[in-house]
Amino acid sequence: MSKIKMVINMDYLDKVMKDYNEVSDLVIKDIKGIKIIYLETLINQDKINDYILKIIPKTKIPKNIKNLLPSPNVKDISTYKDLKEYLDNGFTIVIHDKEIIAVETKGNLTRSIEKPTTESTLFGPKDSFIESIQTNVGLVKRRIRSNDLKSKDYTVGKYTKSIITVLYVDSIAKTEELASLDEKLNSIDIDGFYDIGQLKPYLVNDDKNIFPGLRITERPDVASKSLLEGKIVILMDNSPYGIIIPSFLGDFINPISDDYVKSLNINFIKVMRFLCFFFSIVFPAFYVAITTYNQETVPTSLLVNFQNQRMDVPFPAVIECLITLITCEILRESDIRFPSAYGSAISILGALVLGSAAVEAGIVSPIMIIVVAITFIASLIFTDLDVINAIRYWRFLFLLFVSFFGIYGLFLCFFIFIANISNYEVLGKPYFYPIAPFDLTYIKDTLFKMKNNKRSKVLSNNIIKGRDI
Amino acid sequence: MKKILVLLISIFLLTGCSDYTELENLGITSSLFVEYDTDYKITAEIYKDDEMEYLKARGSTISEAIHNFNFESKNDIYLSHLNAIILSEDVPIEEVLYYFLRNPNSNNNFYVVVTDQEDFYDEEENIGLMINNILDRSNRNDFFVIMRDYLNKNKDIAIPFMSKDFNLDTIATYKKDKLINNLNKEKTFIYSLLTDKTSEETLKINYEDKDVVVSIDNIKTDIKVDKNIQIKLDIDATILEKDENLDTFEAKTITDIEKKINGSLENDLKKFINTLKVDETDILGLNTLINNKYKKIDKTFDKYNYDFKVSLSINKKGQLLK
Repeated sequence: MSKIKMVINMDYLDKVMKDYNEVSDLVIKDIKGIKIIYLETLINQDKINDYILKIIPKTKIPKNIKNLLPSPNVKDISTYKDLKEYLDNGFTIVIHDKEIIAVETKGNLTRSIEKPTTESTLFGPKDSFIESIQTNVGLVKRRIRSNDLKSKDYTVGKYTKSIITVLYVDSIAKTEELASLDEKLNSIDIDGFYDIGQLKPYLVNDDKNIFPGLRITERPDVASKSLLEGKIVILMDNSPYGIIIPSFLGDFINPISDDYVKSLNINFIKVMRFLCFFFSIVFPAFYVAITTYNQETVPTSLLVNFQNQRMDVPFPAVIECLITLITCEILRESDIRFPSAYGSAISILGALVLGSAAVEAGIVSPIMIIVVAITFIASLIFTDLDVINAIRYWRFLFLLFVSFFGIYGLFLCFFIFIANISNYEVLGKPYFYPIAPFDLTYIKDTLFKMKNNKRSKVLSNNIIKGRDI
Repeated sequence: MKKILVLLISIFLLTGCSDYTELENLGITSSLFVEYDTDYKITAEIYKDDEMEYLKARGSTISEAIHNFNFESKNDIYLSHLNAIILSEDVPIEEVLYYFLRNPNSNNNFYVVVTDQEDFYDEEENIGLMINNILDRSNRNDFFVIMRDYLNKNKDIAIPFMSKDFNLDTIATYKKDKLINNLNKEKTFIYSLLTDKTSEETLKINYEDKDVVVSIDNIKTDIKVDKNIQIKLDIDATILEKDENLDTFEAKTITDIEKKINGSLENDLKKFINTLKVDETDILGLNTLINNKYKKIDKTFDKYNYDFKVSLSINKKGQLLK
């Protein structure tokens, strides 16, 4: 039996040499009959020295070397598939006699924990996810120190073999969502992922709605808060972001920083932020409607002022608005793409030079610059790129309706907008929740900051916060 | 289902606003001056940059005259921001009122004034806005109220009268669409009291050769139709200004002032009603009250006798009276 096992081990070695034929970083060492195999680019040389090389006795080698190795993570390998998987993940394979084991010797290829860049806040924790999934899970576990916090791993991607970890709090999250998610993740069959953003279309059906059905976060505190609400957090190796599912429209409008500030003050900001959301969608359309169709709604002095400003502009108000909006979108895109060192120069060039030059040249009116500037400032409140893109989509749609029907078109489009987002579901949960269906419990946690000792029924069966079931 | 969907889409998409106009093509009109000889002659006061522009057009009807503005101006005449319509004395008011009632493109909160003046427009002054502000402050009836009164068959209308130098402190009374009288300032004041339309009104009387001015804080008018028509006015007032030698700490002085004002107002009321009787213009809607009481009008308001009772009460709160 032991001879057969030894033959298999030698067979594995041959297979590795064959399969990794042109893989230049493959290293195979033979020290006193012990075969050591690793991929040089993935490992930490010090770990190999400390965990393996230093402990190989100079005289007699015992039959079972597994117990000699001081590494905290040593795995037995039973199949060639396991061997390849461990080798590809930075483990060192040790073959001796009939024994074949994998020792964790991963190199530190990730950066250290840094400040959040896309979700920065004045107060609150300053750590963010990085590209290492172990670190990211650790950052969450450091906040939820309970064995109720479960983490289930999946490996997806034929070539990338990306590790996905699904985190949930067992006593809070609903099981049907987990089952649905499990089904979705197991059915993924593609070549590979290189960021968690690519996972989105496999989790929610986005075809019907332009707004994002799940939230991307780089903050462990946001992930922890969501887990305690009954949501599920998905992390992926090599991605410094996590996905929170399900997410509702209200979640995108209210950042975590609200939790760290006095509630009376923040409720005003929350209301303002909600208004800004609608404002950033409808303001240009509203301006075009009242200046081209419904001039009677504008006070006389203001209307005369608008008229004087528009006297030299050769384009209809809709075209003028489109020119300004598209120019601003180009500016925003170039600002995001261009290296940040040059970013400020572009902003100054765009905002100051281009704006005033366009007004002087009579291409757009000053009031239009103000309208579009206010719209863009209102939309800057939202940091999620998917939300910003969705707002832009609806902004142009509103403009289209208004250009044909005036204020009537604005309300017509508004009904379509409300019908659209009310009709959308994420993992079977209504997207416009907690407004439709109305739920005061979740409103107290999102749209307002109020004292609340209950969890949302939609997200959890464990309704009372702090209670074990 | 498809038919319903097509129907629904058609309803939503074919019922929108069709009156698309770019802002720079609007001739935002502040006021219209309507004159009449054999035709209507209309002058439009239009906003142009920081000044006002005046356009003239003629037509056999109001709508024809307004339509003819299209040949005078590069911009469409836009009536949704009208501040005032100024009518010359000979304009048949019915046509003007009905035109603006039926015109969907016009607002209905502008003021209507009658004038005997002609060349009052000034390029550097927005006359329409000025009239609007003056009448707004003095709480006069706007087009909407005038139209409501006009449509009441038992009531005649009173329209502010603009005399020289934009003096708007009198009213013109109409019998249906014919101008009857231009009430003087005192009678206009009584009309304001009876219609509860006073705002920042003051009364000046002479008491023992000393001037006293009281401001009217609140008025309650009660008109009852019986054998006679009883007109009762309860007025709360405050002394605003007095001669330095007048001792208003004396309770008797205050009572005497109240009595004097009551007597004076009752006298003015009598003169006012007499004028209405002579003119046969029911601008107070007395015939409506008679009709409400008896369900018919056997005897019109001018055939009735009147009892007047004015109770003015000067506010003494916070005053130390001897």
